[in-house]
Amino acid sequence: MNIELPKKIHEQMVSHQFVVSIMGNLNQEFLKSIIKITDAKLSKLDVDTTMKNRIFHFMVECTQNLCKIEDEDQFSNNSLFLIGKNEEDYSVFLGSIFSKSDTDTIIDLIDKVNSFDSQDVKDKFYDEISVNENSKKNQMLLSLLSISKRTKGKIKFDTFSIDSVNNFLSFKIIISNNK
Amino acid sequence: MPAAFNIYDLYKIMFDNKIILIYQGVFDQEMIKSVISMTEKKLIQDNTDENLRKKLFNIMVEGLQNICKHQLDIDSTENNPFLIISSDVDSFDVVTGNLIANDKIGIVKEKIDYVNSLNKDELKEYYKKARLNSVISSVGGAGLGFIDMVRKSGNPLEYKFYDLGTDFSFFIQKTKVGNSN
Repeated sequence: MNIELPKKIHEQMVSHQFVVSIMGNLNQEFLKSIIKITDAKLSKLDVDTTMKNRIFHFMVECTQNLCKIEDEDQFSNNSLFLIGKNEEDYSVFLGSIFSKSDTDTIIDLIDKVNSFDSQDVKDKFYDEISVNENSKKNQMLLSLLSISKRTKGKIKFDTFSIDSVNNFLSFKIIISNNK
Repeated sequence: MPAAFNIYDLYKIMFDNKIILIYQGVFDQEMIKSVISMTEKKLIQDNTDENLRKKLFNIMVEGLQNICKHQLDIDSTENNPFLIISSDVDSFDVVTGNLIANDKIGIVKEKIDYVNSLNKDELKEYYKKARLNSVISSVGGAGLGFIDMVRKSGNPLEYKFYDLGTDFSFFIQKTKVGNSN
């Protein structure tokens, strides 16, 4: 790696006001440590417990459920996790590689979840839990409903085509003190 | 945050440069343990040679301890230290970045340039002397970390200081760890 590159990456982090940026295989053990570190960082920034819990919930749902639906592959389950600060709001990103078919399914589900109001989200969440169906699609829907319920906001996403079978899919939520 | 941010651009830079880990934020002992544990799992999964793994961990520990010891207690996004690890066919690059007070640059540069100029035997001798004398400098150490990194990696240390136009600069240091040394 050219020694100039880390500075460029760092500058990008700084220009977008990222307070925490981690790329790697966010397995359960590492996630626990990341949550601890993120907790320490956000505490220093006077982020209240409710906001912190929403951020942690989003991280856990994305890494432990949504990203887990993909098998190990050439991308080694690398995920990029970023927290950016914008005045009183925090933007939380989690991006990873998904197959095109899973991307399509997830986007359909996100659109569906985003069309619900907060009461619909709650009702649908409990309906889905009671269905007790363990399909991949049900698991994804439950995760998305859970994210929407806890973060009280719309789930934003971006997709980028990598090759004929894979996409990079990133989830983004904005968490503010006003909610 | 600028609206034009494209997370995939950042991911792609990392992917194209075979970056396996980037962490930017607070560094403490807990984080060092977590980063090492996570890296170990990743390397075992990739069937990385045990000898190379050990070398890499030694370098990581030195680099991370340097950050821990020297990170300045000024908490803002732009001052966050970072660690980047990238992999190549049979080597790894360990890159750390942290703020440094401008008046400390001279002594750090001098220490690195000196250890980089020594051959294997000279390094061994210098290491022994440095340990015996163990003069703790105002930068916080006797330069043993730098000697150790060169000895264990078998490669000179690359570094760069970026002037921030304040009393501080950004110090980036890279160590290449391969199996051939």
